[in-house]
Amino acid sequence: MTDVMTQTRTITYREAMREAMREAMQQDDRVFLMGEDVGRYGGCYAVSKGLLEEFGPERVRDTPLSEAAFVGAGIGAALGGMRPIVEVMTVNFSLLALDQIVNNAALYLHMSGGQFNVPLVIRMATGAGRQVGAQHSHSLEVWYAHIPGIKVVTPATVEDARWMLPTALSDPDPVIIFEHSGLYNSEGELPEPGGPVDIETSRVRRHGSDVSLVTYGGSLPKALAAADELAADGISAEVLDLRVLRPLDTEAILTSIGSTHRLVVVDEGWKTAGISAEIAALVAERAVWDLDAPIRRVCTAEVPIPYARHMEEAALPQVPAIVAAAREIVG
Amino acid sequence: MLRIRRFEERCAQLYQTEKIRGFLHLYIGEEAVAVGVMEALEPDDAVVATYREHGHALARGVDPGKVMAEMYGKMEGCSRGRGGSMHLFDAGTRFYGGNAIVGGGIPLAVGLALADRLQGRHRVTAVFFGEGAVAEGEFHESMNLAALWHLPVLFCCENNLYAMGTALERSESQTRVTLKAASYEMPAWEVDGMDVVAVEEAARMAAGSVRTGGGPHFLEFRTYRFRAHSMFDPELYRPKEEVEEWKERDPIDLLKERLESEAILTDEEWTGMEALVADEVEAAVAFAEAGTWEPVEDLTRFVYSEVGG
Amino acid sequence: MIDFVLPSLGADMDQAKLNSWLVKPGDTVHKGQIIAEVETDKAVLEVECWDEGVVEELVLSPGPTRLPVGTVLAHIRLLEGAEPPPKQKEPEQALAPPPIPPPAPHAAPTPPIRHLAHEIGVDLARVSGTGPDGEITREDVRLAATALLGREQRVKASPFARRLADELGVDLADVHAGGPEGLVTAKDVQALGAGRHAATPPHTAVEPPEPEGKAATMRRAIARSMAHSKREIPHYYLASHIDLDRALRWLTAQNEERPITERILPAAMLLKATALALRETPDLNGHWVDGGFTPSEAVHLGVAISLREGGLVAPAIHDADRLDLAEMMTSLTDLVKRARSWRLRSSEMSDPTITVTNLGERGVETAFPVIIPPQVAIVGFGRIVDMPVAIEGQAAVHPVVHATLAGDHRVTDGHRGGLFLDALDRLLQEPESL
Repeated sequence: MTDVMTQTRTITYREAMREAMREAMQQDDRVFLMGEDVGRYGGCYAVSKGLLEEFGPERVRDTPLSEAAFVGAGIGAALGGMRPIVEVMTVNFSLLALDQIVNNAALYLHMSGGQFNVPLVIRMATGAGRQVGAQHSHSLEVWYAHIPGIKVVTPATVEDARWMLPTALSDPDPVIIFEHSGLYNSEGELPEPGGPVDIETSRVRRHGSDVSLVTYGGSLPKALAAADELAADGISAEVLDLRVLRPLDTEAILTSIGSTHRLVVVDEGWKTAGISAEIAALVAERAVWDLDAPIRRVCTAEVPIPYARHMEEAALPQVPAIVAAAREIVG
Repeated sequence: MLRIRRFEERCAQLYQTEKIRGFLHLYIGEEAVAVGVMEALEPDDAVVATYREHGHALARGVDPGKVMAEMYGKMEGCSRGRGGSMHLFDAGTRFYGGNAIVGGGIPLAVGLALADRLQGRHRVTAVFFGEGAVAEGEFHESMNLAALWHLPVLFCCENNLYAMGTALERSESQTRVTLKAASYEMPAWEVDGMDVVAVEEAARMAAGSVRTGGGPHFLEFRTYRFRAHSMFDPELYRPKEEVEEWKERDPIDLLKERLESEAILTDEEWTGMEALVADEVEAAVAFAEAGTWEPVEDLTRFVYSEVGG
Repeated sequence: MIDFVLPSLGADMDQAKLNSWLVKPGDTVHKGQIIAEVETDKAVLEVECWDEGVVEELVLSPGPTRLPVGTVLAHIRLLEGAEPPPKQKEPEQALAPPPIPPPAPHAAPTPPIRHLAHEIGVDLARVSGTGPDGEITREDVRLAATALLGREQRVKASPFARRLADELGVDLADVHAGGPEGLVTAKDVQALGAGRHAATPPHTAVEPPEPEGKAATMRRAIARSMAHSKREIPHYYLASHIDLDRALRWLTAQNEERPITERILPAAMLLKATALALRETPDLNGHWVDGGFTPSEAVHLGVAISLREGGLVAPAIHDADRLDLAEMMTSLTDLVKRARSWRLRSSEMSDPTITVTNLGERGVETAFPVIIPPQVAIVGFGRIVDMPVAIEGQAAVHPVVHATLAGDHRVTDGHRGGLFLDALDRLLQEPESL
């Protein structure tokens, strides 16, 4: 690599994911895309727009509304030598395919004593914020992060949206990529030339010394905004983007707490038995002597997501709540 | 068929002496289906089966010692002791399990067939399931998808009339399973599952058509299991007389009688076969008995692949 | 003759009752024949025979007793020619659950226990005993006392604040709680502890790295040791200037004749001089053990070495008084290298009889170090600086090092300490004797 200043390019999260898929399909014949409305419709969130025209119907397959069958077929195709990308429209519909994911994809390597690995990538939109009602607003990443045998990633930046996919595709085991629907329109600077990024580590998006805001996915922009507000008040917040929920980058979390001594977890899932609980437990187990204040978790209220805008906003984690939590424990 | 029969009988005995644990589902009475269909498949084809899969594994060519060792839970078992009776896997014979969720393997078979189509291969994926699976959503989704995309799947429904304890007429509004398949625009045949020759003929025709681009086919095998659903089943749901009636059409007896009547099989040959099979079964048991237990230190292996991606 | 046993007929079946026999002694039985009926909680099950033979004896009769899987129900004599089943390992005997033992009577607390409890204020009625027969042991009583103490004296402080308080030797009870809900936080402890912190060598164990990282482990150990030292050991301090003009001239001349890699640093001289001076004041060289001083025959000089991740170790150069300067230099270099790559030996960590610190590296002129228990003294050397001195009435500028001694007042006093520093000075004026 020559020693020139890194160039960047402005791109949306959606475009970044599209580019990633296109490049993957161009470079490897084994890669194909399968899911509801990924072809003719161009993808529910327009992520796969143009791919059908470029690659044809054998490699960009519109499926019937049969999540169990097409996710299972993705598993079978992976077993049969392909590298499928299965797009489940949202995590809400993935519940229909839970049996295939939990009982087949996650278990085949283990049950076969190591004979059959499943190199499958599943992409799903997740999250709330558009008044689409309770059934369309879940953040169930934690359910999948609970299962040994699969890997769960949550790209929140355009760089991760662009470059996590090739790594996931070359992983011999099932990888689920969660894309917060609120991020698709977000724009960011993509460093050029880029390259595949790891799917094992977290990133400190903003260094700080007074409190660690640990978060992932759609909550990252809110955590960063909260950090800005806190800075104006003289509170230096560190923002840690988890990037991967399974395997969790425990070292990064512990290092951050070792430096700031205070933890606020921001998580759009519900608080009870959520990812935030896992992080709090981890810190209590391994960094308790670094904690200078109680742990705080800013999560969705224990309610199904309502339709009316003001109610939905009240239910979801917002910047003022993150700022308040940080202020409370920094003192 | 005889090999499967004697193997399964031995498994029953071993379960009762606690060598085999967990759930044990025996194939006794249904041997003709697995044997007949496997005869019609090529070595390169794929097989997806259910938790009642010992017969399929043996007929497919998985080593009996490895099967028995797996049921003992030994490391030398075909799944390293990790799976047990319901999760026999063998990469060498493209035997993709051993699945304990009713209907759970059917979408996998559709995917394996999809991979063959995308890679331009002329292979068949045969998937076995009971008539109980026909009630599951995953069955219908898979049938539709396979037919819609014209995939090389051979659907083999082993209709033994009972899904554990529930008879077919108590769970299906339409008990003619082939009609369901036909509703997906798929060729579907009913076959006498106790007649191994009939099974093989039907399977050959169907597999041949699948292999040469005829799309998915559906075979319904009318068969019966002579023993209970699993080891601990008092069989309160079916009358003893019914079992006895079906036993009169024991597939092994049927074939034996036919071969004897056509003077193809002699008494000595039969005795010889029994002896051969008995030796094989005992060798399998001995192999399992001599096997080793996987070290506990290896507990966390095989959750993720060990070779870098 | 073979045993016909009650088989396992299901994953969750452990026992069954024998309901009836379908055969009697003398009957011929065949493989696959149902010969008995048993009953579990769930159902009545038929049991088949796996052999060809004749029933010899029905060992058990039908009845309501729950029999464990594996119980011998009958004996069957195998027919001639019929092979006995292959030899298998003993089937696991399902043991009948052991009878519940009658509850043991509680042994009354013995008089010594009652006395101890009274002394430390523990109510024996609330103590559960862990000894045989529920007897209350001394340990039980002490644990109960600790729990009591903990509850009464517990200060609400964050875990980090507690750790800092330990490290800085601050008593949490003295700290004003500035955090939310009356919590003592790190900031509060630091406010009180500022100024008490001195850069001194720790007493650490060289363990393989723990998950938190070696540096963090080290800091914890430093904290514990420093706090202990300051609490337990009454320190006195002495200081003096030592003129190193002669010593350094001599050293320069020596080094000119040596290849660069074998040049000797002033530090080696200081260490050797220290070791020799200790021979004259042996009550600075040894350990405080069990309430008394144990002098050491050998002089194992602990050398404080800073680590890049932060923290210090002070491993020993063994028999420092017997090494010549070249050997001292080599030992020192080797020790520093191994310390920084965590390859010290446990004997090096446990053996120092005295420690020397702050060999001018830090740019500090004077050091007031903390004694590392169980040692009883510590020597500090500051930076070598040029200072004006008076030589026979004339002013001159000579290189001078500021040496300090901290001593354990329980073992030595200022007089003894002064003798040591005198000896040190004297030895450094005769470098050729080092």
